[in-house]
Amino acid sequence: MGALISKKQLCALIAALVVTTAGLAAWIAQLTMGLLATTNLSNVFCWGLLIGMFAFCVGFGAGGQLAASYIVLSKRPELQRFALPAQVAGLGGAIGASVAIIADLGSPENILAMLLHLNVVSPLAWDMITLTLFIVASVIGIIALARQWKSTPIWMALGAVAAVALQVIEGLLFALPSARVWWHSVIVPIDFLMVAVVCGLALVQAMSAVSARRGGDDAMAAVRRFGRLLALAIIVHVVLALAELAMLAFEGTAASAATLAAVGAYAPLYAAELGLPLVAAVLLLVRAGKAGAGELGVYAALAIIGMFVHRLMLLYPAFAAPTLFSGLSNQPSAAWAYPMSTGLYASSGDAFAMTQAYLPSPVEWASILLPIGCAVAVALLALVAAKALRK
Amino acid sequence: MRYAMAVDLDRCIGCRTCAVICKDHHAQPEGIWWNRVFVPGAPEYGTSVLGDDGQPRMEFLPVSCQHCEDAPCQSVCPTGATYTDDNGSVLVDYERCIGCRYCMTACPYGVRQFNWGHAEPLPGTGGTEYSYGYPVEYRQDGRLVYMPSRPEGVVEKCTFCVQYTSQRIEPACCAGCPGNARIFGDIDDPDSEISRYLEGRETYLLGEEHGTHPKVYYLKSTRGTEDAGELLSSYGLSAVGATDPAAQGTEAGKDGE
Repeated sequence: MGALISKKQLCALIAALVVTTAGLAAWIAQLTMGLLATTNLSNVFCWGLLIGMFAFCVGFGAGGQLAASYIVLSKRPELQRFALPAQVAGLGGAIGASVAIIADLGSPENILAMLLHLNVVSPLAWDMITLTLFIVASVIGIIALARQWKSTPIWMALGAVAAVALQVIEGLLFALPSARVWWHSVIVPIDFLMVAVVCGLALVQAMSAVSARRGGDDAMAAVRRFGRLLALAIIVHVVLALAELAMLAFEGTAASAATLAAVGAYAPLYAAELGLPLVAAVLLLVRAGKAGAGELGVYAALAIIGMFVHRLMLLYPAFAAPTLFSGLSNQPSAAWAYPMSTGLYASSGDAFAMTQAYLPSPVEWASILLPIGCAVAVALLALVAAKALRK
Repeated sequence: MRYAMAVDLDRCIGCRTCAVICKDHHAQPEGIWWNRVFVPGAPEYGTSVLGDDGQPRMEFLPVSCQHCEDAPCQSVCPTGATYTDDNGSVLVDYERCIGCRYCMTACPYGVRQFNWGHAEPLPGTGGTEYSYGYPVEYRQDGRLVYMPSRPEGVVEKCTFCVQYTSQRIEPACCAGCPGNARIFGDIDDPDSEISRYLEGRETYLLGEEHGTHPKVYYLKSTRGTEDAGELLSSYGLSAVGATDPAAQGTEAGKDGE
């Protein structure tokens, strides 16, 4: 074992397992005490932090796979050593996403229905199928890289296809139903793909920055190369996000106006979503030749934080804006939002509401440790397994 | 055969009996309402709003599951827990629902309700537990679509009272409505009560822009659109409340004939 895993990796694995255990405890608390007692969710805001983490992990996983595929297929020698770490990060992300979506279920005991009665027209069913295929492709990719198969480029190409499919379908999961105008846009699946590209590039940028700080000369060249690509990907993502906002502003419906108001209500979060990566992109372009590895690593971290906030902002305007509007009979001009039942029966809870503020509860924050811990643990174990396969 | 419901807004008096009787007959846990009634535009119940003509209006709009022909909740459900039965009612099989809540995000009407927690038993008299609702579970072709003690972590909503309509009893909200504002029946049968009621009348649907093709038809209210003065004078009254002797005499004369 000592030959297969370094001391640092062992410490990281133990830390990941501790984090997983803490997340597991939070999940068990949700299952036993009920979501009403442990979360701040309601019928109005019915998807929360775990779904945000699910969407983030999917993007991060797909990004890791895309980065690994790019490294292998581009055949650039200075990048090759980052292929396996990127690939295992891809697998870790996908495992984290799987754990997050299962932990979010209200009745996980009925999960067998997904196998026995799968509804093939459901975008969520497509998503689960693609996620499963992506995990299989990731595992094969890790084996191919470890064993240095001749067919590795083919598996990497297939992995890239799986990553693109996963992100597009993930985007369609949100975009296809028309009830939420914040999601119901052709831009959403495209932007999901771009978020994965940003995550993948930022991941490799961060890894190569760490490597460069340890004195790898060729790693510094890789950091700079990835820095420019990352900046470009961030700019495309921001342009897509702003285009979506402009489309919403010109839609001119009661639903779009309510959604815009919700975006305004969460303006600081929205500013962080766009601002953090944009600042990183500008600095990556301006200071690419001068900045040290540490500084460039910080920009990569800013981009990843921005993508996580993006996943949260996927939820806020969607659920903070009402979906049903009605006017008075024979009165053409006004369309008012219509309240819905919140499902809450705490003494402080409103029975009916048009909108609801959402701040994740401490248990919800703790519950996302489960997918995070699992993702890191699986990635580390995959690295160890790859090392064993090499031998 | 397709069950449908008509809601005549001219007949709705905003008493919310439909919401309460629905809750009662379906043993809906605390916090859950399959049926709700509000005044469009009013922040509080029972508040009038100013219409385009500057006149105050108070119109009640009952909203529950629209039992859509093209139900987005059904198409997005990954396990087929939400399905449309042979009568056109959109139902949820509690034993197949995994509680992913995707259907809730896809429903534009906000009618789907999730069981977020354990509802404490309600105390009854003499140390007993108060129980309410249709007392036994109901399965349709083996699928559990109603049970008085709802499982936690599943989605529920209006079933068009499947446990009653299967016995040819009309839904509780229709039976309980004091103004007979709700009319239920087979929309495919031209002789059904609902078909006859809707014949020749203008209806509208909620959220038509979503292409869901609801099977709940609304008849617009015509109240408040008439000139108040004309309306009063038709009853022989003037706008200030004083009776019009001439008109009164005319009416009295008519009555006396």
